Amino acid sequence: MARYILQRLGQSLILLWLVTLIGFLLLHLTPGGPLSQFANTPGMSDEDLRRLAAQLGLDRPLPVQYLDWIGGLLSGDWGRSYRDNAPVLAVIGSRIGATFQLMGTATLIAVLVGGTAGIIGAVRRYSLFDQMVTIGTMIALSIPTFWFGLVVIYLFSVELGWLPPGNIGPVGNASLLVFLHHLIGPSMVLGLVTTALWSRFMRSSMLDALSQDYVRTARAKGLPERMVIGTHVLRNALLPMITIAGLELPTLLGGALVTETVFTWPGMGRLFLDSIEYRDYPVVMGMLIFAAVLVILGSLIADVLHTVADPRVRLR
Amino acid sequence: MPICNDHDAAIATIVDRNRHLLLPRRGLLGLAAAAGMGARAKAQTAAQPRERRGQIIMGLSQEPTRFHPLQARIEVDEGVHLNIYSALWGVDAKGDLVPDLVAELPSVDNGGLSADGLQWRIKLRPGVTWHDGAPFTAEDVKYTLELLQNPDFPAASRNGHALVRDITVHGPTELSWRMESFFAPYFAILAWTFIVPRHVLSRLPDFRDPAFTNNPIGTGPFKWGERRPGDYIRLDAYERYHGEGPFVERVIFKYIPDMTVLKTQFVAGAVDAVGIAGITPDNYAEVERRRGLVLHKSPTAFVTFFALNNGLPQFQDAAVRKALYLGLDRDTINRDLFYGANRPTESYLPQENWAYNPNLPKHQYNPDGAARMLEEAGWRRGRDGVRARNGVRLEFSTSTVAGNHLREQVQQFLQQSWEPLGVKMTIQNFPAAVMWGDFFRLSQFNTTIVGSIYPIASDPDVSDRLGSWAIPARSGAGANAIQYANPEVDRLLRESVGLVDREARKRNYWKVQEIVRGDLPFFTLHQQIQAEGTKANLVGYEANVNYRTNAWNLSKWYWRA
Repeated sequence: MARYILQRLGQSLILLWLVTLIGFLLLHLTPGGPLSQFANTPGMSDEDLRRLAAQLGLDRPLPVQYLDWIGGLLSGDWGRSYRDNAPVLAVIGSRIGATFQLMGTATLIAVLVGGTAGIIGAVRRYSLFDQMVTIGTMIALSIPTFWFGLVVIYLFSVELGWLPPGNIGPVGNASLLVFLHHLIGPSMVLGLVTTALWSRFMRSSMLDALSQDYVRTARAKGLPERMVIGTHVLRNALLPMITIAGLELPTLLGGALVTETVFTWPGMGRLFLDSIEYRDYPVVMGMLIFAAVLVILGSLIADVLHTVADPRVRLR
Repeated sequence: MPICNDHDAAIATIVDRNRHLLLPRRGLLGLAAAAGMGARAKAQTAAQPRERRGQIIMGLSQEPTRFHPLQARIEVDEGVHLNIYSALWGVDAKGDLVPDLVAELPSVDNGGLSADGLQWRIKLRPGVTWHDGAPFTAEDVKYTLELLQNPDFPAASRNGHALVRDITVHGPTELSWRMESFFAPYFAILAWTFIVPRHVLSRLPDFRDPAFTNNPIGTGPFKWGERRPGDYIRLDAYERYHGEGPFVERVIFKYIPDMTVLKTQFVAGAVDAVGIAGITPDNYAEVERRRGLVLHKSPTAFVTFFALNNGLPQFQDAAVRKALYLGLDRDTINRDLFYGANRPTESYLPQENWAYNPNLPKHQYNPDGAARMLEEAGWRRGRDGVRARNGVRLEFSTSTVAGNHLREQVQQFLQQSWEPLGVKMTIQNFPAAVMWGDFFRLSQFNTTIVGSIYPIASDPDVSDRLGSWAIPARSGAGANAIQYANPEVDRLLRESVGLVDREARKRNYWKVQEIVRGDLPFFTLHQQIQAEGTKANLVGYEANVNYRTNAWNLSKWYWRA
């Protein structure tokens, strides 16, 4: 197992290097740059902009800029944001908490509600409950998140006044209850879509497991249905869910752009959009590396967990 | 420094020629507004509360992220700067300069300015302190002006500052300097130049050290509270502020990136005021319907242009430019596409500017006249219906920021309006970072729809925008991306920055506007009106076109009891 993990990590280094190279080239070869936002600022002339570009090192040849950046990365210096004039890691660190809180809650809702609905729907296939869940998930997957978020704000904040209309919390009030109150709206909106997805995944996986010979055998042995479902079906149905959960890791920390925007939640999704918009190269590259690391780690963790859940799988 | 050597030489000649204009009289240079302002300030104070109360949450659709006031910034950053820092003087809503860190505005009358405008002697207000308690002195002003000239410092602009020489401190509240040549816009430039603390910044040799920008220290009405990136910035009232106010305990700039969400949060009561970029015209009715909310439709200095790249052969012929303008149904564009929210104009200057010329010929929509004009100028239709002359086809592209729906609709409307005239226009839009990069700066576009502020603070000098020496694609300097060149305009612009007499400058700038209106290097669509909102019991909002943000006077805002 340890050898396998080391092997995978070694391969990952090559993959990461390729990600940095392609990302850096694509980003810098795209027309426009971080100073374009000042092109129309009164009093700033072309020579001011060229002077600033030189001070940021943007006038150097691209290979020199890349080598400089990757050298910094290897020594733990991820660069400095052009917008915030702060270290990239600090910029990412300032947003990751908010994203994790929102995505974690939404995923928890999805796993609990969606997972349960998927299990019941599969066990009671074609029942009224199953049909209602199927219709509900189709509706949830079809509703645009942006629109649904605004509806939630209008209904529960503007009209009923039950929920705050967004934000992570009022300034200066960091109590847990207030935070949870603010978390309800966005996690409900985000959770709806992920719940629908998880319920579909879980239902399919359960149905697949239910049709296996070992389930028929278990029933033929006279095992109570609760044991058949709990021990034989659910455990096997969870195997593909582990892979899905592993691949969810980047999403969990990568942010949800639309929900974060509607509910003014200061997370990673918005940071990425703002950084792209302002061509904040160091932050975009930092987030790219971060996302690549999460994808690699997520799939590695999923593989390892697979061996735990399924004794038939051996990693070599 | 965007002024080239021959420009400086011209200024020196002009100043020399106009020495007789440097008469010591009130109103010279437009600096005598202080008395009137004092009266206005007193009238306001009467209604203002005696103690600070509450907080203001101002929603912004862009995030302020740059807090060094001398480095590159966008308009939303200036809202924070204006409340943390102070300049030597400011500009009020009428365009008059008003003292801030100075005890009095320098003038020939009070000996603050020599008759030729070259020697400046500044008397500072005593008793001003930085937010960390250190005294503010003339050394801070000297440090600031010298920092702007430091080649290693990433200054946003050195326009005007590069002319300053021999800065001498005569005591804690007095300093003097000499100008290499008189530069009239420098008064306005100083109104946009915030003074920074020497005792803090001189200890940070690395100009990129974030120690200062993470915890900015100024002399303004509010001191730095905290920043939660991507969420908000909190400024707290500064108890020892040297001016009026502040009348609230804190101000919170809340970042809400989407304008629909910003409006929704305003309607829902989560924000007390909507600042940049305001409320979109399609939402005016909804906000106006809500009790307890006030919609302020305020003029800005932004003018929306359909700008031509005047370096292209098809736009060299004045008949083409005039015909395109005749064939442009501006009333319909403004009424039906922009919801009638903006103010039609013929000038590049906002109508509130003291040099705005109200007598420019009004635009008329006359497509038949446009077709006739092109025909008479020898532009003949080809087989495909597109006109051409001497091998030059009347065909060009137009570009703006992709996703700006209003401007995209204008493009489609113009495309259809000009097609019957034998003009082929294609649409080629880009993301903002591409559009306003080299593509615009280095005049790689054909035509564009752009909103720009031409004056600097309240000064009408537009040398950087319309001077032929300021075309970046040719000289690597300036901001004249439309490649406009007219020798008479050049002459007037060069002359005007050296004139001390405001009336003489005004006459010149009126003439410049007349020539530009005749030449039509761009078609002015409208002066932008921005709709911002406040809660009805929040008092103090005042639009000021001389700043890029109406958060300029938050120190005077208060909650009605």
